[in-house]
Amino acid sequence: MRVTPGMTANNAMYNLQKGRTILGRLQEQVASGMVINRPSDDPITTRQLLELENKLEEGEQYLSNITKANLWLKMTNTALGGVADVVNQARKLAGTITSGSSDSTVRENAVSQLTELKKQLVDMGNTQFGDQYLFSGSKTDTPPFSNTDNLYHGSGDAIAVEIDRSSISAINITGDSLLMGTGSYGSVHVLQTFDDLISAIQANNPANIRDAALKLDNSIPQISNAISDVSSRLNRLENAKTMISSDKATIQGIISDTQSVDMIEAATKLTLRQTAFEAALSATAKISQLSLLDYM
Amino acid sequence: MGVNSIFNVATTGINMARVAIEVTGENIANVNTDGYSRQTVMFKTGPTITSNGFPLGTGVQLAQVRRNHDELLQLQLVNGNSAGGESSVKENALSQVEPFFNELTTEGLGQSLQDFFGSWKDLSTNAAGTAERQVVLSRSESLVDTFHRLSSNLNDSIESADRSLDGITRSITDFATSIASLNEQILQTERLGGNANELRDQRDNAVFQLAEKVGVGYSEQSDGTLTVTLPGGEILVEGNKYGTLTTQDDPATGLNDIIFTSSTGVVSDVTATIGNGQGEIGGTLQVRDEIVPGYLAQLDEMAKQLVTAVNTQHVAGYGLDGSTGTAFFTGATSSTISINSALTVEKIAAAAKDPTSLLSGPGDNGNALKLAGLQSTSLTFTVGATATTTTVSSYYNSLVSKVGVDARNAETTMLQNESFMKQLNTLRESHSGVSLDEELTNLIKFQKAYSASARMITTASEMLDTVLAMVR
Repeated sequence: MRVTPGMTANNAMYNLQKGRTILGRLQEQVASGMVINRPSDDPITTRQLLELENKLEEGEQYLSNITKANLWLKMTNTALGGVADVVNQARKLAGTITSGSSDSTVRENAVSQLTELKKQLVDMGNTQFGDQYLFSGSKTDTPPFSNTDNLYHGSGDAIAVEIDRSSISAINITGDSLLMGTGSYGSVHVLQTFDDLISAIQANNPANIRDAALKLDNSIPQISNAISDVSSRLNRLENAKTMISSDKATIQGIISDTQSVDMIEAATKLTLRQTAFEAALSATAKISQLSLLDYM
Repeated sequence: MGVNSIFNVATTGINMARVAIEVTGENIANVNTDGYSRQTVMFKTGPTITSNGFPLGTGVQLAQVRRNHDELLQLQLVNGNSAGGESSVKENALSQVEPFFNELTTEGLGQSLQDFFGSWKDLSTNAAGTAERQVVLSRSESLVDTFHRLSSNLNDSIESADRSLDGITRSITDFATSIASLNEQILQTERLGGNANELRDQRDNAVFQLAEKVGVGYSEQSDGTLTVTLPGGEILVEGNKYGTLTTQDDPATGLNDIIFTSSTGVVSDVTATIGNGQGEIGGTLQVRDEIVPGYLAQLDEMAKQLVTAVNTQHVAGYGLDGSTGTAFFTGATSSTISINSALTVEKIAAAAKDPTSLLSGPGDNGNALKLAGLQSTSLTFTVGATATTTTVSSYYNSLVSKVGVDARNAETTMLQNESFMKQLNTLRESHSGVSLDEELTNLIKFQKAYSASARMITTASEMLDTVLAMVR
């Protein structure tokens, strides 16, 4: 085969070009820290990576949802603790005068304390998170209770939050099931019981006082039922959070396994290619200098 | 046979050595000329005469100046260049389209979709929140903007492919013109018995370059002219006549049609067939009519299904002000999708029940939850006869992957063509290329021959002097 300078030049150009392309690729990988820098580098893995990244982002979203739900439920928990305290105090107070009292000051004192406690109870029921009422169902802009009537002004709706793919958790407890006994926690109308107790003490009617005190007794498990419901929801949130976080770690592991450049390997390759490229350059420069002309 | 015949023989030697050095000079001068085929001088002995009963030669004659040329290799080069033209146009276009979809390093439509659904999830945790509602609106705006940007980018690619057809058809016509005129010159030169080596090189090179633009067929006629045909069988060049290719705006599509006007003035639309033979024009037409519109169709379908799904759910819900039946998006393609102008922060339907009614309130997030849930809901996307059922994000990811596959294939094909062409070129160089070492060796060889012939004349002259001295 005849070898002409044109051939040598073309060959050198082609190979130098190829060398530069490979160097460029490696350089890009080292600089960006990513193996796949554009979909065409590896279309199939690109798709997997995008799906994983979507999942990761979804996880982030659920974690943020969980954080918000957590806040709401913790506020609820605190309010419920307050409600339980108030009911306990009322119960103790009722215990001191179960059989009535002939001393009107004692009765008046008890009545004024109970009236105060009921106000507190209503305040607790009207606890707000930001500008939203915790216990009024979806009518978050309406105070669920008032001091003037014993009615529930909220709605019976649950407010649900998505805490994982197709897993939904309610974050609220409606005021009617808590203080009016309409739900599954118990059947005591706590507000009415307070009023009944107050009027029984005012009338000094021991039978009615005992009756109301008994109802107060029954309302304590009703409130603790609500508290344990909230606790179990908080638990569930915690579990979901742990699961999402561990999923997240796994996914991040997979992403970094496929996408992150092994720096040692890449740097070694880069050095090797660089040496090869330098050799090619010097060979090209030397070969193209050779000519019969120099010897004529 | 006398001393005079020695002069004659030596003169032919000097002349032929001079011709050989001229040809060598031509070769050396064209060492870097594209498409040049090295030429070799072929000598033959002159007619013999009988002298004293013995045949004696009368010197050297020029047999031919041969052009080192391989017809089959030329054909392969021409075809290879057509494939190369097509693949490099495609690679070029796709490498420009790919960054629009490079979700790995930039935040594109995939991210916008995530943000859009994420804002609904945020809203579901605080259905009455004005800030959350505002975020839903602004995320939707950025989603709509991203759709518009992608769509206009893809349309730009289509238009730029369309515009480049103009230049390609013009250069095809230019090449056709020069091939026709070379045909004429070769015909004239060879009819007079001349040597048309350089003209043939130029014509081969013109055909080679023409093939990069459009995959032509060609055949040499008995009179030495070349007939060139387009992929659809239309005769582009015949003898010294040539047809022209032009573009013409098609009002139906808004894009260019390729119009061929034959040498006899017959006009035909060759848009459908001209791309069959590859070449840049074939690649460009594929980019313009198939590849990019394919992506655009998928993007449009994606926008359409998203609009339908979001609207269906949104219409069913209630805004803070009790409004219902409000569409969220309007439009049905990636370029026309936009947020319903009647939609306000208040009217975003997060509630499943009327919040102004007695039984419900602004904290109702039932519809927001369902809208957020659309992210993981499978929709059916139909493009042409292909129906895919998957989530919006997943559909988009598969589009990204498809663009990646196409770009990769185009690149691989282009690299393969490049290395194929490199091999063919090496073969051509080996056969037709000028080797300076060889030419310099020849130069010495012919120079020595020239000197030797000159010495013959000196010798003959001395002989003549001797004869004349005898007479004196």
